[in-house]
Amino acid sequence: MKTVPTILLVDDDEDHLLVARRAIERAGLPAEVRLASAGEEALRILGLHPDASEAPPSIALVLLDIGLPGLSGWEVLKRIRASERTRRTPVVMVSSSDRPEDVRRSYELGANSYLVKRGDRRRPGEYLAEAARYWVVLNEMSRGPYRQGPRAAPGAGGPGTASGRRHADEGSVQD
Amino acid sequence: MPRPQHALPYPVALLAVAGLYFVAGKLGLTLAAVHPSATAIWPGTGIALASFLVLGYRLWPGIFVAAFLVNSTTAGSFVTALGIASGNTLEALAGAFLVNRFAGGRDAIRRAPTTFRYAGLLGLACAISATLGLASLLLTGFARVPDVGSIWLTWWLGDLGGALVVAPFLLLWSRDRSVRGQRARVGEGAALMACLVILAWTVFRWVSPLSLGISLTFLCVPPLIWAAFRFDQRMASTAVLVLAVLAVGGTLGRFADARSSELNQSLLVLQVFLGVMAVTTLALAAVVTERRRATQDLQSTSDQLREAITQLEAFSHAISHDLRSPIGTVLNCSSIIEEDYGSRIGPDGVRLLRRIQAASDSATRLLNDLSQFAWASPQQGEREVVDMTALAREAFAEVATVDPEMSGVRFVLGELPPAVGSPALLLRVFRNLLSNAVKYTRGRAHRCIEVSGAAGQEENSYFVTDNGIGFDSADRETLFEPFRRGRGATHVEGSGVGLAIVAKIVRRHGGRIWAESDGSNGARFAFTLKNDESGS
Repeated sequence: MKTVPTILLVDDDEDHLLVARRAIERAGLPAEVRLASAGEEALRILGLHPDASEAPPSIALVLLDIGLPGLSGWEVLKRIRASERTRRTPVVMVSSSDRPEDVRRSYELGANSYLVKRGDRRRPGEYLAEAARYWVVLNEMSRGPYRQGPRAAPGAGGPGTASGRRHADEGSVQD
Repeated sequence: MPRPQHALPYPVALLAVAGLYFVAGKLGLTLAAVHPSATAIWPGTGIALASFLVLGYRLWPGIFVAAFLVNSTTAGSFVTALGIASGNTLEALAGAFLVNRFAGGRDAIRRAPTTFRYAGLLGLACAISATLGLASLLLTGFARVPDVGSIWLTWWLGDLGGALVVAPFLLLWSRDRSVRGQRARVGEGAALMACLVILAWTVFRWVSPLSLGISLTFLCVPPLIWAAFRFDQRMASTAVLVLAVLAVGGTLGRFADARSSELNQSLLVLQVFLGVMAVTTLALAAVVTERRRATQDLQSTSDQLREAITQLEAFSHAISHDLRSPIGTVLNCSSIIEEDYGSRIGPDGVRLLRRIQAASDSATRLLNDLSQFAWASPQQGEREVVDMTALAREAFAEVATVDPEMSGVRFVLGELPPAVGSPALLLRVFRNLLSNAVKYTRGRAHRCIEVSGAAGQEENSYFVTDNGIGFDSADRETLFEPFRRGRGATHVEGSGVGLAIVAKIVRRHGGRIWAESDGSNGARFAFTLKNDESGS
């Protein structure tokens, strides 16, 4: 049986989760969407929490908000990068802050990309779905004959790379 | 009414003041030349005055008794001593009253204007003692009528000397005795005093000013100015006191016959000299101290301002950040309603949704601009030489990709001098100015936007000129304030923050910005940037 990769959406804003989930599901990606509204909950799903009971799913992408209640998005990102198992899991920060320091800090902690939240008149949340599509496809490729790991892909915007930083600075351009 | 500052019990204060007055009076009378009771410098006046100003008028009995004892053990009779003591006490009381009333009390010499007033008022007060003292000497036959003029003048100058030389020293050191932060300057202070002592002793003890035909007393001026400029008022008053002691001692020592008329003349000149030096030095020290204090105040005010600006920026960021999410949700949800339920709510419902979306759009735009405005300052160390020509070209390309109706616009770009600053922020300057020019030329025939520049001695100038609708010259000043929109801007989109961002960036780079227009035929926006690394 083939395991379906999981996209994990972490945000305390229910409205944002609703829009993001709807857009990603409409994009028809071969992935399951899971939601978490707090950092602790996200770590539990990722299998990085001491009392995580179920076996962690295969995570294709984490869309992570910064301003979470309790454990912040940056804290979660640090834990993800600190664990050998999730070290290479793609993490895209999604925040309504466009403050340069926030962007810089996110990349320093190992984010793969940074998107500024926005409202859209047409196809709301599509920019998130597009980002998800990019990482899910990359994930598929890394499982196939071209398996190289997500970091080897051209233009992947690894931690702190110039391309990643430029995208984030422009606010909401997708990878 | 001055209030006692130190928690000194009254009897102790009384005894201390009386004792000090007695010792100083006895010392002062050793400098008596013209008449045993009239001395060149009468420190008692200074001590009495400082006591009344600092500790209160109620110490007068101590002064009176001490003055009586000093004089009754010197010359004259019981009656003369009583008269002189009354004069001395009244003089100090009157002086303290006048200074309290008209010159700021014990802090008179801390400011230059009141220092001069202090000197003038004490000139008046000292006449009391000279007149009363002289009268009691005359009445009891201890002074001769022909000597009246010189005795009165010596007496008056001697008392005034005490008020100008001794009182400031006591007043300043009683106000602040801390020498914190001065320890590193002990060496310099010692050098200053050594200089003063050597010069004063040389000038007044060994070199006779009269015999040289030219007085060398001015040689003592530099150390006094040194004290006023490099140290504080306390040091200046100390230097004046040291100079006075050395000058009087030196002058007396120079004359073997301590009763000669030549000595008398020298002492009178010396008294005038010391009085002038004291007032000048104290006023100078006051000005220097005031300036130092003003500089510190300015520094702390500017620190507070900077802090306030930082907080304001953080606040405006927080506001725009916190509002962006709900406004985005409004836009997203209305879009979802339109996509998923549009057929059910009918064209009228969709039209209303569109209005919600348009309103959310403009709110988002405003928030984005506000956020940009908040961060429109170069970060620490974010300064490099920027190719302004390339930057203007890039900005125009960006504006062109966003605007759908750019085909008719002619863009002329001259050679621009380079600038020093943050490339990202300077790009935003061009982007905002160009998008402004594009907006306001819309609908005009032969739309043309020109960017030019000129290198200058200290700053380079840059110009963005368009042939659009221009602006009313009455708006010239308010154009760069946030939320100000031109009168012709009713049908032009924008939040009114674009030019404010431009102005803020230019000013944070140490430049100037202005705009010109005749109100109908285009506009010219100009800004300058420092062309060296020192701009801030």
